[in-house]
Amino acid sequence: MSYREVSEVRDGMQIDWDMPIEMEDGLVLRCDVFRPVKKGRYPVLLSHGPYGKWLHFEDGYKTAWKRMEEKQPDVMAGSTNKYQSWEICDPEKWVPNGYVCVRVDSRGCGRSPGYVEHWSPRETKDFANCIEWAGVQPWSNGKVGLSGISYYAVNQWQVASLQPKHLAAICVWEGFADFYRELSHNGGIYNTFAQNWYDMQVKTVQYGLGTKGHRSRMNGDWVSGPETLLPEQMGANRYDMGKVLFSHPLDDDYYKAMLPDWSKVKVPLLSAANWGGQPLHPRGNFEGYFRAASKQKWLEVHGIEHWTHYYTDYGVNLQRRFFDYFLKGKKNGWDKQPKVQLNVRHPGEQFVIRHESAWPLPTTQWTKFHLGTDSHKLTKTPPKATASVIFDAKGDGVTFLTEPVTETTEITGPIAVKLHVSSSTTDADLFLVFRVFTPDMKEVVFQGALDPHTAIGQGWLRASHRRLDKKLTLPFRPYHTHDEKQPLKPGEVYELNIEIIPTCIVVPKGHRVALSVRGKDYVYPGGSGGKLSNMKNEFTGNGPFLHDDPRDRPMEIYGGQTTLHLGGNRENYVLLPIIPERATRKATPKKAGKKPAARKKRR
Amino acid sequence: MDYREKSEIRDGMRIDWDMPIEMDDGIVLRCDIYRPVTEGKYPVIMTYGPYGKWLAFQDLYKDQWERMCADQPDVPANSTNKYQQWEVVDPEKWVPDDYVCIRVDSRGAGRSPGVIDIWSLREAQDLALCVDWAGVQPWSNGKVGLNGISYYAENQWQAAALQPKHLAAICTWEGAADFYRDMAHHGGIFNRGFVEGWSKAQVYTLQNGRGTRGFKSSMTGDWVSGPETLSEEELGKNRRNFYEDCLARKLDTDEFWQSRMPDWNKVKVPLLSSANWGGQGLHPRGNFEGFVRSASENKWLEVHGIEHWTHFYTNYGLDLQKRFFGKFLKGENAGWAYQPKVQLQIRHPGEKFVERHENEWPIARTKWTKFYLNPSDMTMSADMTAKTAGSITYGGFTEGVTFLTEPLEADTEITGPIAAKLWVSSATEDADLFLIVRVFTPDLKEVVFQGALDARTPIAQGWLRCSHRKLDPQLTLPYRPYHTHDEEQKLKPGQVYEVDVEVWPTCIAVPKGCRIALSVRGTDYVYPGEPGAGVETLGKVWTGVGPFTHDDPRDRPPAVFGGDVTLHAGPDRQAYVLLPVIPQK
Repeated sequence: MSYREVSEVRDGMQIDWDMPIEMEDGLVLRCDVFRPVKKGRYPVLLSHGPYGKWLHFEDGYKTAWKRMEEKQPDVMAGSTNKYQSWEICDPEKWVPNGYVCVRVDSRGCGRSPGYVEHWSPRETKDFANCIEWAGVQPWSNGKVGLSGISYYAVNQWQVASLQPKHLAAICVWEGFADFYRELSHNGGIYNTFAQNWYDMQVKTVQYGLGTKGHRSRMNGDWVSGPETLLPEQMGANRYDMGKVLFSHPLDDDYYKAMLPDWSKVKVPLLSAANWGGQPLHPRGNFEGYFRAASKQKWLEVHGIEHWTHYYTDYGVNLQRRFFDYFLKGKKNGWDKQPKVQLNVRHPGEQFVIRHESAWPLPTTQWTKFHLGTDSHKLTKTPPKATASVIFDAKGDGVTFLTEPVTETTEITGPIAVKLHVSSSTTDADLFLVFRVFTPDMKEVVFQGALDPHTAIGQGWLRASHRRLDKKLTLPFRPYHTHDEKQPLKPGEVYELNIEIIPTCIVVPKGHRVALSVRGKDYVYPGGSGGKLSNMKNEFTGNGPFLHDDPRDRPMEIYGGQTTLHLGGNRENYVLLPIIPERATRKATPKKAGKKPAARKKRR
Repeated sequence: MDYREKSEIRDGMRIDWDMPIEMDDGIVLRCDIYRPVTEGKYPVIMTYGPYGKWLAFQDLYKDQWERMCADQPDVPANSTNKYQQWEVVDPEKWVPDDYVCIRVDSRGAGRSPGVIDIWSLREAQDLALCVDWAGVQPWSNGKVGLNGISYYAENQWQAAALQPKHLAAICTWEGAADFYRDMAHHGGIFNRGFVEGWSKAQVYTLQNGRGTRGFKSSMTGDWVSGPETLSEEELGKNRRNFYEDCLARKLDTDEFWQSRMPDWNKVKVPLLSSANWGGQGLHPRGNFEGFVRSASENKWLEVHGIEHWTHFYTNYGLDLQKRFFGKFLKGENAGWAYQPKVQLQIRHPGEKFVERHENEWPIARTKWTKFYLNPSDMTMSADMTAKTAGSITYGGFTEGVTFLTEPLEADTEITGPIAAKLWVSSATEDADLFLIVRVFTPDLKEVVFQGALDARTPIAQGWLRCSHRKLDPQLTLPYRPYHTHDEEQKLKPGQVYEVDVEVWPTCIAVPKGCRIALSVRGTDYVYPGEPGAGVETLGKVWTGVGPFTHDDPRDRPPAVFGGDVTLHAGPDRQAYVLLPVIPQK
C-alpha cells in the first residue's frame, strides 16, 4: 500500500488525507487537513503527536469513549463522530465555524516514518516546521493555533518557546511542562508511568506496524502504515523510553533540553488544568500560567476525567471564544475574560464556576497547620512539647488529623509542607497526601484525571533531593534543584520542604482535614477503582502513577525507618491557602445556576 | 404426583423419603431420613424448617456454595455433595459415624402442607413433636440432637424451652433467640430489609403447593414444594404475611413476639451456642444471650468469623459438633472432656483469627473502660480528666457524627458486650440512633470484616429508637442495657433525655497506632468506599449492613425521624461508650 494523498469531500468538509510536510532534514511527516469546502483563507488549529491520526478514539480508548458517550451527550451531539481521535479536537465541531484542523503524526508514529523520541528537540523542531508550513498554505489565513490535551498540550509549551512566526495562540489542555518534576521523577522519586504509557499507547501505533496494527475506521487504511516493518526494524526506530528516563535520575541536560524556556513563551495562551491530575499535568499548567512571559494569558481549572471537558460544550465554547479572538480577530469580549476561571470543587463531584484575577488567588490567607506532638493532630497553634514519630520507610506512614472544621472552609491554591526528618539509612522517600474526611470518616475523593478515587492533594520528595532553588522557591511553592544527590547521615535531622501540587476543595463544616506522610504511594481506603482499557494497572488511588520500581527504591536505602522530629524549635507544618468567603459570592453548589461542570457521582 | 414415601439405599445410606409425621392437630409433616444401612439404634440429628428439604444447596444458594467450595476445600471433600442443603448437615458426613439425620419440612413449606407462620409457637410445637417422634422410632436410640444454622438454630431455642422428652442436646449455630430485639425491631427500629427481603426470597419461594411452578429436586427428580400445585390464591391463603405481621407489632409485649420468645428458665438441655462476630443485625445477640441466660448446666459458647454458613461445614465446625454430640447423644466422653466453656476466634485486622479459650462470658478479667464522648472537638477518650462538654446537632436522616480516639499507644483488645450512654434531644417527638463502633488504621482506612453476610461489616453495631428508651431494671447490666419495649415514651421536642444503647458483643484486637471511633448516625451504616457484592437471594449490592436495612418509610416517617438530633455532654451529662478492654492473660 502507499500514501493516501487524496482530497475528498465528506460530511461537509474537504479532507486532504496524508498530506506531506517535509522537514529540513528531509524526512516527510504526514498530516490530515480538514477544511471548509468553500475556498478561502482560514485560521488553523494544529496538533502534532504520536497517537495515530487515523486511530478512532473508540478503537484506541474504548473505556474512555464509552464513559463519555454515556455521561456527556453534548460531546456526541452535532457530529457524526467519525473523525474523533484521542485528545485532539473533533473537526466537525470546528470546520463549520471556519477553521482548518490539521493533525500531524509525529516522527515515527502513525503514518510518519522516522525515529521516535518523545518531546525531543528534534520533535519540537518538527512541530515548529509544521506550524510554519500551515501558516503559508493557500487555505490558511497565516494564523495558527494549537489545541489538544496531554501530549498535544505538552509540546505546545515547547514549541511556543521556539516562537514560530505563524503561531498565534495556544490552548494547553492538561499539559505538563517539566519532564523531570512532572513526568519521570516526582520529587526525585522515579515514576513508572512513562514506560507503561509508552508500551500501551505509543508502541501500539508506531509507524511500520502496518498490517499488524489498527485499521482505520475513518478510511479503511492502516493507521500505522503504509509500510509493515519487521519487529527489529521497529525496535531500531524508537528509543527505550523507560531506560532513558531511569538512567537520568537528576534534572540534567537531558531534561533541560526539553524544558520550555518560559521567558520565550510569549504567545497568547489559555492554560487549562485539572484539579485531579496529579502528578502529571496540572503542575505544568499552573507553572506555565504563572511563569510564561506571555502578556495575554488565562488559566482555567476543571475536574473529572482528563479528556472529558476538552470535548464538552463547556470546553469547546471556552476554546472557541479564545481562538475566535486571537485567530479570527473577532471582537467577542475575550479580552474581558477574567484571567482565572475556576471550577471550585465541593465534595460529591460538585463544581461551582468562579472567576478570579490572579493565581495564586490574591485573597489567599496563607495559614499554617502544625503537626502536633501529641496524638497526631493537625492544629493551627504550634505544639509546645517535642516528640518524634517513627514509621516504616516503605509503609503507610502517619496521618495527622484536624478536629472537624467549625465552619465551611475553602482551600484553593498551592500547598507547601515543612518537615524535619531523619532516616535510619542514607535516604528516605516521602509521599505526602493532603486529605479530607466527611464527619463519618469517609475520605472525600474525586474522579481525577484518571483514577476515580483521587485524593485532594499530593506531593513527593526524596530527602536526598532536598536542596532548594533559592531564586525559584516561594513560601507557598518550594522549588528543588534536583541537581545533586545529598545523602543523609543516618540519624541526623534535616529540614525538608515539600511541594504539594495546587488543589481546590471547599471543606464543609464538620469535615476533617488530614496530612498523611507515607513511605509509599497513596492507596484509597475504600477499594479498587477498576481499570481503563489503555492502562496496565488496576487503579488503587494513584491511577497509573506508581513509584514502586525496586531499582529506584532498594530496600537497603529506602526500606529503613523514617522519623519525624516535631515541636520545640523545629517547625513542621502544612501551609494551606485558605480562601475567605466573599459576601458577594456566597455561591452554594445547589443554587448555582451556571454549573456546566456539575455532575453527580454515580452510586 | 404423589408423596414419595419410599426407602432406598444410595451412596452408602438408607434414605427414607417423604416419611409422614402426624401432628396433634392432624396435619402431616414430611421428612427425609438418612440412616446407616446396618440395622440398629442410632442417635438422631434433626432439623425442622422452611428451606425445602429437597432443594440442593447449589440450586438456590449458588454464590455461597461456589465461594465456600473455592475457599474451603475441606467442605466438599469426602462427600458426593448430592444431599447438601442450605444450613443443615451433610448426611454423608454424619451417617457413616452412626447418626441418623432427619430433615423435616416445616408446616406449609416444601413437602409439608399447612399455613406458614414463621417461627410461631405452632412451629416450635411441631418441632418438639418431631423430636419425640424420632425418639421412639425403631432405628432410634432415643436421643435426639438438633443441629443447624440460622432458622434451624433459632427454633432450637424455642423447642428446647418446650422440653420434649427425647431432646438430648442442641447446637445453635448462629441462631437468634429474641425475634423482636434480634431480628425485627433493632432497638425498636424496624429491620425492613431482612424481614421483607428474606421472607420473600428464601421462604415463600419454597412454599408447599408451588409444585410444578417451583424447584425440581436434583436429589429425587421430584417437586421440592409438591406434590400438589396450588393456585396463587390458595398459596396466599396458606401463608401469613411476615412483613406486615412484623411491622404491625411495634412493641415486644405483643403476643406475636411473646409467643415466640423462648423461656430461658426452661432451656435446660445441654447446648453449644455458636456465634459469629460479624452477624450483627440478626443472630449473635441470641447466641450470647442464650448462652448467658439459659438454665442449662451443660453449656458452651463458641464464636467465629467469616460468612454465616461457612464454619458450620468446615472441618473446624464439623469436629466441634461431632465431639459435642458424641458426648451427649452417644456418651463418648473423650472428645468433649477438655472443651473450654468459651472458645473464641479472636479477631485481628485483615481477617486473622487466633483461637483462645476462656471460662465465662463476658470475660471475668475484662477491664470495663468508659470512653467519654466530647462533642466540642468530636473526640472520645478514656482519660477521666478530659472534660466533655458541648453539644452537636445532625439531621435525623444523615450520617450523623463520629467521635474519634487518638491513635492507640498500645495494642488493645476489645472483646465483649458494649454499652453507650448518650444525652439526646430531638426537634421532633422521636429519634432513631444507629451506633457503630469502628476501628481505623493509622492511614484512616476502616477496619472491616467479612461478616455473616456483608463483606465490609464494621466492628460492632447497636440501635435505639429514643421513645423505646425505658430500661428493664432487672435485666439491665452495666455493660448490657435491656429495654422493655413495652411502651412508646414520646420525646418533648428540645428536652434532653438520657438514653442507654446496647451495642452487640464484638471482638477486635486493635493494633497500636489504630484509632477507635463511635459513629452516632441517623441512618444505616455505610462502608466508606465502593459498594460491594451481595448475594442472589438478599440483594445484589451491599453497602456495609448486608440486607439489614432500617429504611421503611412506614416505620420511619420523615416528619418524626427526619428532624434534627442533638447530642449533649457536660459535667452532669457524661456521655460515653463502655468498652470491654481485655488485659493480656
